[in-house]
Amino acid sequence: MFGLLGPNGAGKTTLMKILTALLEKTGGEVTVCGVPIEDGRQIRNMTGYLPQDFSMYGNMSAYEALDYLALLSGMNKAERKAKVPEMLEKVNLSEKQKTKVRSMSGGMKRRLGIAQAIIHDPKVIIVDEPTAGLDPEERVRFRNLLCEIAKDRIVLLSTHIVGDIEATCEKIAVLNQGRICFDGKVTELLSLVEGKVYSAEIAAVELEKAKQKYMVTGILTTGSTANIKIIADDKPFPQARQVQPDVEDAYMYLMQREEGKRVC
Amino acid sequence: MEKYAKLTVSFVKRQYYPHLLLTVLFAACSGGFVSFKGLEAFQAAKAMEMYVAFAGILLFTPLFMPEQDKDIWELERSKGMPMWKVYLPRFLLALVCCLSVIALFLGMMVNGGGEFEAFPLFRGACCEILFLGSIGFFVSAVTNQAVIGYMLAVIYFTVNIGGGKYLGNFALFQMMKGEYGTWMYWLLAAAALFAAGVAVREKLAVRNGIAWH
Amino acid sequence: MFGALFLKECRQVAKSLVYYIYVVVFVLFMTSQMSGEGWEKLQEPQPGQSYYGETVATDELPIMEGTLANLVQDVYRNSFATYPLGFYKGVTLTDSEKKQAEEILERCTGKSFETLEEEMDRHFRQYDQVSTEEAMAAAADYKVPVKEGFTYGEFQSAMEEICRLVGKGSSYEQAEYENGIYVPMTYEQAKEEFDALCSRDGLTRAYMRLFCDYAGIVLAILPIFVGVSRVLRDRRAKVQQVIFSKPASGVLIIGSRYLANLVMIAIPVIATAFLLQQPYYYKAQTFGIQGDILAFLKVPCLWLLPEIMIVLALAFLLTELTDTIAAVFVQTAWGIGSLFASDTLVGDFGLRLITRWNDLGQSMYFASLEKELLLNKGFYCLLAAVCVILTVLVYGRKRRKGGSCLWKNMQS
Repeated sequence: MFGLLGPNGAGKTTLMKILTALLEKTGGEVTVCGVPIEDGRQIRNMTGYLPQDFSMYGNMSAYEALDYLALLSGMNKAERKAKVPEMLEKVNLSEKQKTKVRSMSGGMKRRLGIAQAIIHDPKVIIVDEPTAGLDPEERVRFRNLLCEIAKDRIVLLSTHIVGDIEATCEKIAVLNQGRICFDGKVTELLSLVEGKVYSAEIAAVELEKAKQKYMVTGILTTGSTANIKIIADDKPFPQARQVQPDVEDAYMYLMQREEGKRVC
Repeated sequence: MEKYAKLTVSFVKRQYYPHLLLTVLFAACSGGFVSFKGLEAFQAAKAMEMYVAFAGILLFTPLFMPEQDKDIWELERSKGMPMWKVYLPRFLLALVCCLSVIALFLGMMVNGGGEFEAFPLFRGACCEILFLGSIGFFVSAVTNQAVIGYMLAVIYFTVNIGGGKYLGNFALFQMMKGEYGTWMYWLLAAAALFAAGVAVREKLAVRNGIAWH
Repeated sequence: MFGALFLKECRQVAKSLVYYIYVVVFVLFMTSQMSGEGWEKLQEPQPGQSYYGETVATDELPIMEGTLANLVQDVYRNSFATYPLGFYKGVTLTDSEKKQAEEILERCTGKSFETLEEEMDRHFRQYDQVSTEEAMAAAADYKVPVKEGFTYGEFQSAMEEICRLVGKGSSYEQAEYENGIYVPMTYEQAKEEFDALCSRDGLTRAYMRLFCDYAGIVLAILPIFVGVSRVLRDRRAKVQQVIFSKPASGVLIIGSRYLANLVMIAIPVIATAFLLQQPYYYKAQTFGIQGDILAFLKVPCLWLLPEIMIVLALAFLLTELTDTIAAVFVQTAWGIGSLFASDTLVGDFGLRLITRWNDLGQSMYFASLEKELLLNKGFYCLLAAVCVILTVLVYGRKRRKGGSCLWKNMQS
């Protein structure tokens, strides 16, 4: 599973659409598993796409919707008869197969979306912001589902939610303003901030000053004190202690560095 | 006040301007379809009732377009403002445009030296065109589909071409028959349909009875 | 695969509210207009009747006399019906223009306009105008004779002058007056017509032409909404992206949708035609003739299918192109314009969208126009095919451009 991380407006969806032949590229060369994206039919055959705001005709049931999309994926009747219930089972919608799409929750729709993306057994699955707007439980369930799917195929996950990447991906790329600013393993991203993340308890009134001086990635205020997490090259306060960085710290650091580059 | 003005401007910019442009085009092309020279009462009424009437359908049917999207409707509702206050400025805008179109046509007819009484024609045309527009407005409000609003308004218009006799006081094209007294029925029906459109729509939407897709 | 997708699309149409409105309106309209329509015509003409109906004039003299009769009435009322862009436009002449028209009439007839007015008044007084039959006979019998030695060539140039005065699209254009003048039938002609109705049309085919006349009016408008609603449903339901990303080709997607909508629109038409045809089929048997039992299929398929095809195809194309309901305005204007534009209620097909035949009969006249009708229908079939191909191309383009259309902000 490959994660594509980036702020809103970084160009993630545009890239996803180019990779699924939904948008023409303006320059350069793009291939998916060696197939140039100009070959739209071939690309669509080998990819499964879950768009950011997946939906289906409200008057169709889960089964009908999946069957319809399977048909558009070129599957014959026998294949659909076997695959549609199997996929509904896989995404835990078997019991809801008669539920109309318009009555489905966001999570159910998203699961239906992933079912339609994998039903024709594509080599590559491209999922765009799949967990946005889901409740925590549904989000965890969805991540697990993605991990399961990624066992035997490539999954390209685009998100601006760092937690999704941390929980699922081994390799990631960070996209900012249309440019890839990091491409490597999660551990390599973490190594960027190794030894630079500190935690400290300061007076709440000092908070503003600390924010101006350091890159603060976490704040927990309790009464007159605040527990903060800071990224800094040297120890910022005497009481600060070094902590283990997480992907969010590394991502924030990278973004800050990019911002600095642009300003310079 | 400013909030409602902003909402209305955004509505015009995002959804309504093609309809306004089409209305302008409709008025501009009228010379090719309608004669304004020396019209008798029947001819003037015919132009109003069979041609200008479309401006009503065109202007009043698409007023709920933004709220056809459930997300937008929910967002506006969450701001705590009564929805009728969102719809009212749009309605007034459509009303002003509609009355302007009718006045423009009447002006051209009077200018062409017609032999008809201008005021009864203007009053009748306003009420009749509002009534036709209110059908589109009401239907698109409760079905949440502008297409169905247009469809039923056009069907009502077409039914009146041959079957007006079954519709009693609510039949269109009465002025062409020299009957100028039914304007009150048209006005009442229009007012009822406009008010009911908003009320029924909101009631349905709150109870999740609207077909959002 | 096409078949399976076609069936799914049919099911989609069958679930839409617009479709049900279409079915209800169509069936109500047709049953209210058609029940018993033309029934009274189904009697063998008997010698000695005062009126046997009318037929289109083909000789030069009746054409001139009939056209001048219309002209006298139009000049008298100073009201001319014209259809410059397909829409009805009433034209009123200025005093000097009216004077010129009167002079033209005087030149053609050799009589002053006052005399012509008096003669017209005298003619219509002879009939009881309250009775429809008498009023029709009065109009059919009214003729204005041309002056002696007046040639058809002179008549043509006189009509050209009238056209210059009243503008384009009047009934004084050559193509119009040569097809639009009716003369009363004699008993022999009426008998011949009746025999042709029985033998040539087997009664049911003639009845189906009348059915198609009424159905053609509503079918110029209603399928627009079914088509527009189907195309916009993808955007409303936010399914464009996911469908675009599937391997199915544009031809398959658009083709199956178009065909499904076409068939679903045609089903109530054929069903209503079949039901309405039955009494006439049995009536034919009482005349001792074998009615054409398949007329409900043959005539509407030729007459109405091309019309539904083009209306639906254009609705698909315009909606796919603009992502708006623009097709509703453009095509409603076309449909209503075409309805008002037909100068006659029988024949004069040309390339009109709505082809009229508001009569149960005139079988021989129809036979003479059959080629023109086929040409009209063939043209619209071809145009519909072109529109569908263009829709597929537009769909393909949108697919490559991430779904954006020409006018991004115009949504419905």
